[in-house]
Order: sequence, then C-alpha cells, then structure tokens
Amino acid sequence: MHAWNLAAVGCLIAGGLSVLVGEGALAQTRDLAALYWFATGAVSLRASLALARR
Amino acid sequence: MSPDVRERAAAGRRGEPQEGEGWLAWWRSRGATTQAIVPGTYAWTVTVLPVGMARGASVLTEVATALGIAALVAGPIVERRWKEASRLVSGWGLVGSSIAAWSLAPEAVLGAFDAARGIAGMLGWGLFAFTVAAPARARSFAGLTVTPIEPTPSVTKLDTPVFVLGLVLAVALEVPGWRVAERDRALLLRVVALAGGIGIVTVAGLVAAAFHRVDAPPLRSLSARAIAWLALAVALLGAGAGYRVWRGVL
Repeated sequence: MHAWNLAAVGCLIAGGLSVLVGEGALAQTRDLAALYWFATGAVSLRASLALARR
Repeated sequence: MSPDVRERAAAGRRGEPQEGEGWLAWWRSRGATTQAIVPGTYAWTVTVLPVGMARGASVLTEVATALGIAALVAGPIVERRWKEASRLVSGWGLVGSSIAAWSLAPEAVLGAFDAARGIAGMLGWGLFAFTVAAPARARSFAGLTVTPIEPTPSVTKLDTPVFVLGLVLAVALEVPGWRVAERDRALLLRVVALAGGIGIVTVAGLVAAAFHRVDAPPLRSLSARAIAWLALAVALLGAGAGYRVWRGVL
C-alpha cells in the first residue's frame, strides 16, 4: 500500500469532516465559518481525487 | 478474473441468452436512473408526500409534490436515448421538487414531522443519492466489454473501506439538520447534506476506481496538479484547525 493512496484516503476523510464541521457552523448561524469549511471540504475532496489519479 | 466470469462475458458479447433472464435480469440490466426509482419512491413517500399532500397544503405545494414522482418516472423513460439527461431529470428533478414542496408546505405540518419518520427518510435519501451517483449495477453481461484488470493485491484492499467510508460520511452529514428548530435553516441544512452526500459518495467511488487504473502511473510519481491540490487542502485544513484551537473551539 503506497503512501499516496493513503494520503488520498486521508484527504477524503478530511473533506467529509470539513463539510460536517461546516454543517455544524451553518446550524449555529456562523455562515462565514460554514462557507470556509465547505470550501475546505471541496478542496480536500478534489485533492483526494488528484492524489488517487496522481 | 475467474474463468466463469470470462465465459459469461464472452457469451454476452456474442449475444447469447444469459442464465436467469427475465424481468429481474431486465431490471438489473437497466441504468442507474431506473434503479433509483425504488429508493427515490421510498424517500419521496416517507418525507415529501405526507408534507406536500397534507390538509391545508396549497395547490402549488401539491403540484411540486406530484412533480417529484413524475420526474422519477420520467428519468427511466428518456434513459435509453439521453442517458446523462435522464440522471438530471430523475435526480435533480426529485430533489428540486422536494425542496419546493418542503418550502411551500404549511408550518404546522412541518412541525408535526416526527423524528422516526425523519430517520427513515434520511436512510431513503442516502440510498437514493448512492444509486444516482454510483454506476448502474449490471448483472447481465450482454454487450459488456470486459477488460481484464490485474491490480496489485495491496491496492485492492482499499476499495471496500474507501466506499464504506464515503457512505458513513454521507450519512453523518444528515445528522446536524435535525437539531435546528428554525425552518428555513433546517431546510438549507437538508439541501447541503444531500448535495454534500452525493459529492462525497461520488468522490469515494472515483477514488476507489482510480486505484484500479490499468494505465496507473508509477507509484512514486506525483503530478504538479496533485501537489497543488494537496498543498491547498493542507493549508486550508491547517488554517481552519489552527483558528479553532486558537478560539478554544477544538
């Protein structure tokens, strides 16, 4: 198992958790924080895909 | 690939009848849009129908509710000719009309929506998202071109965990919305959870598929694009986590 594959999985987890944190912020009406975490989630998911495809 | 699968695939390419053909085989051979009818109808029946057709609902709400099931049925009809468009019609037609129905529904009806039904609906929407986002499951090998893939065993092991992980994350996104009392924000959270869930399951599927690429680059190489995305993700995650620690939230 190569480190880059594990990094891709790590980015997938980070992306999902970021969206989850963003949802929590949105629920607490912290909209700017929510936006930040949604963007972070999207970038992390994209990074996960880029690493898997290398 | 086992000899049995090779044989059946070859027979399918030759157009020979497959074992167990019938309505079930026909159903399995259809695309994702057709297969999404079952979870879609379930999600719609549990979460949209009781709200959209409740006593006191306006005509507009009822129309939006009916449009949902109409979109779900229309998808498979146009699937053979316009495969991509059918996904849009079925998936986003149901989601869009459901959002409209929830938005237009009377406040009292939404307030009476119980938690058990909500959890059942969550599962339904999760399954619907999974079916629409995932490739259709084809059991019939008719017309299927199979390219033998010989992945390294260590890479193959990651498939199931990655896919299960995606599903777990997608389901977890459904939780925060149920704690919010304000109607509009709860609705917004439902939409975000749905879109996020579809996105995460899609990426998990693509990542799992990427591990099986026949023309996979050498393991040690990493493209400039991948490095850029990774650097940006690490910077954003680091800054966000750092800010939360600084504020004492984490």
